[in-house]
Amino acid sequence: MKPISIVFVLFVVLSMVYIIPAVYAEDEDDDDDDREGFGEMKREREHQDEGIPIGTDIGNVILYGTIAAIGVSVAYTAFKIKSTKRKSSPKS
Amino acid sequence: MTIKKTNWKFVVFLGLLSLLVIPLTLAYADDGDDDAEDIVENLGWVAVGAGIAANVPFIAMNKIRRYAIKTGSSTMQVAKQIRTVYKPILNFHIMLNSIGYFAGMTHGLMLSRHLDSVSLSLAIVMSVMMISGLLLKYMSSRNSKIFGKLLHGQFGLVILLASLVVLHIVVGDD
Repeated sequence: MKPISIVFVLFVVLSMVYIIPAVYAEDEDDDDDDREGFGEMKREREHQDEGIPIGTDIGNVILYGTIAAIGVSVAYTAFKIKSTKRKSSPKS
Repeated sequence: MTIKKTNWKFVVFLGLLSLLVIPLTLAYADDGDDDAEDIVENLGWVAVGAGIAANVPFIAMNKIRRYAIKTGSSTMQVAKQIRTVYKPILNFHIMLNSIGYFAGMTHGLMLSRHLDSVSLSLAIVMSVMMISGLLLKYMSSRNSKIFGKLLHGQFGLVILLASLVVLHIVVGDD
């Protein structure tokens, strides 16, 4: 499979992934405007209880832990490359 | 040279077309419609499914190939057979992972109003994996290729990504 065919198939699938939600979203019912605002407020309240918000203790631990883990991985990779290079280069 | 130039023009064209399509969907997202929100949530499941389908066979194939090479001459034939299907499976891995990444990112952007630390961490780890994969695939310099290969195959990052996905699903379901 040539790279251009991969890109083409990827584009078709991505377009489907992006377009399908938009098509369904267009069918929304606009008649019930009064209830729409109420529904939004209710949903906002529901979502406030969801997840681990940023700024809380557990939230900070997860976020900074992830960033630290990525930093350590990148540093370890760089260190490994450097040490391999040093070993392979001839001593003067 | 001319074919390469045409390919790049085609890639840029498709990229721009995708960028034109994304804002349309974002405009309809998270506007208070339950059905639309369900569809956006389903995008997350598309990302999870694509990730599993892209990575489990690829990792299994690599492990089997390494084991076959390690054990010696009797299993060398298996390693050779795997080598012939390596390229298509790699392309499949790249394609499905890209679909999963963009589906996941769209899901995240559409539900960005309810952003939490697990989702943010997940987006960061996914982006790091994607960038290292791109480095590995498209960079020609030896050092960046080695860097991409080592970073992309880090077991710790894979475990971190998998646990964040599980945590995101558990927290999102509550």
